[in-house]
Amino acid sequence: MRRCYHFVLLLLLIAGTTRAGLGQPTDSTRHRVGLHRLVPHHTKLQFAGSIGWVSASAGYGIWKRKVEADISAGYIPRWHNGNTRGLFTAAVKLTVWPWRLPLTARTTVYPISVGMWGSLTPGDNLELFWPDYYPSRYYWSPTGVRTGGFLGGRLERALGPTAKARSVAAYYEAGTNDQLATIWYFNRRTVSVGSILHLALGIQLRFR
Amino acid sequence: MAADVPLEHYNQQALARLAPPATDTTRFVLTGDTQRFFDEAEDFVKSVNQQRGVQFVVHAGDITDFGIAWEYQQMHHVLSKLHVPYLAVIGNHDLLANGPTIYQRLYGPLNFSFVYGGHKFIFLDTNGREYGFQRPVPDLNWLREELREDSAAFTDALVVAHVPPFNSDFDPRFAAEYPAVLAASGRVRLSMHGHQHSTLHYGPHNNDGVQYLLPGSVEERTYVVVTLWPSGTKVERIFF
Repeated sequence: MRRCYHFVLLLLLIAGTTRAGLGQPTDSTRHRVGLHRLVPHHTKLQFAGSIGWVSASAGYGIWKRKVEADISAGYIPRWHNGNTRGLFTAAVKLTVWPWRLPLTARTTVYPISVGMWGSLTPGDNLELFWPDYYPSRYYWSPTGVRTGGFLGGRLERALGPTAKARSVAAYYEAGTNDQLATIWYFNRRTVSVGSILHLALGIQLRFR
Repeated sequence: MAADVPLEHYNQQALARLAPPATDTTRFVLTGDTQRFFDEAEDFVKSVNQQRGVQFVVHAGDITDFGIAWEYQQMHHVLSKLHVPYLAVIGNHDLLANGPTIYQRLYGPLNFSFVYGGHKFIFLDTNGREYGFQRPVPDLNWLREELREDSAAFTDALVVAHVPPFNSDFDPRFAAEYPAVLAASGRVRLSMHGHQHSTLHYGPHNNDGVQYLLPGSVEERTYVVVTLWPSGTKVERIFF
């Protein structure tokens, strides 16, 4: 229960780390060196996608928002994870959005995203480092360490000047992880691409 | 096999599907280490389905590579196309991550046995390294009991265990005791193992009084057909 409480606090911290939270910058202060530089540009709430049954992230858009870097905290409830308890996942994710297509004055489609992530999921028999009783290089990467990649897309809606957020967006990702990709690569006759794909759905809020 | 094991377990389902022996001859296929070799496993299934007189298939462990549910389900999907039931013991890879829970949910207990045609087949977890050599694995007390009890119910026994006792992943505390238990019973025909992906090994090891059989792995596109009759054992190697 204590663990759960800490996790909720963490989610609130990530989701609530707005510019307002660390001091309200104005246009004139936005580019000043200081703490404001560390304030995330956006937050995402995501369902599935290999980084938690549900996850919350904070991130930055760089190179005219063509690249986004996110750090996330995810949770996989016990009834969904096959482990002896609920699992927490920490992940970093890089997403590239090469194109944007304005649909209307306020609506923009990002038709394709390409991304990759790495995650840490400690748990019962889920290791971040192999225990000492294995010889070196006995197995693949530790069971609690995963990497993966995905393709996706996004629909973004700019909000009015009085809104507290700059824009809201919905996105999806279809991806897989290192283990499943390896299995698919060596068994393309019997293993279909569809069987290794994980679908993720998320919403993104971009701060002012 | 214990009566309290639910029938939804694959191993229990396989036992329920076993055709009763028509003669005093028992014939089964021994394979192992299907792991991430799905294409090869599918070819293995096609090959076994062409074998005559095979009554069941024994999987010597490492059904999966990473111990994840997806692999368990996909590999079972491939192996369930066998025309005869298959029974699987747990391998070290199957014990990774949530593997222990998944195996027990899908296949049932880690140690179990059944009698077929007068032969007792004993499936035993010998993946000592997965427990850091800290637990009594293999459970030799259980094995002793299995070899002793109901002595009239079976004429001889065959042990199926993933890691052979002469491998460094077998708990060294029990490596000498395991063959001693088998030899002392005087009833064990074969000790059958996977893990080493070695080519066929059929014979004793260091004169420890036990006859071992390692079939090679699905990856090597080979398996063995074992035929047992009251006075003899025949092992045939098949390539596919």
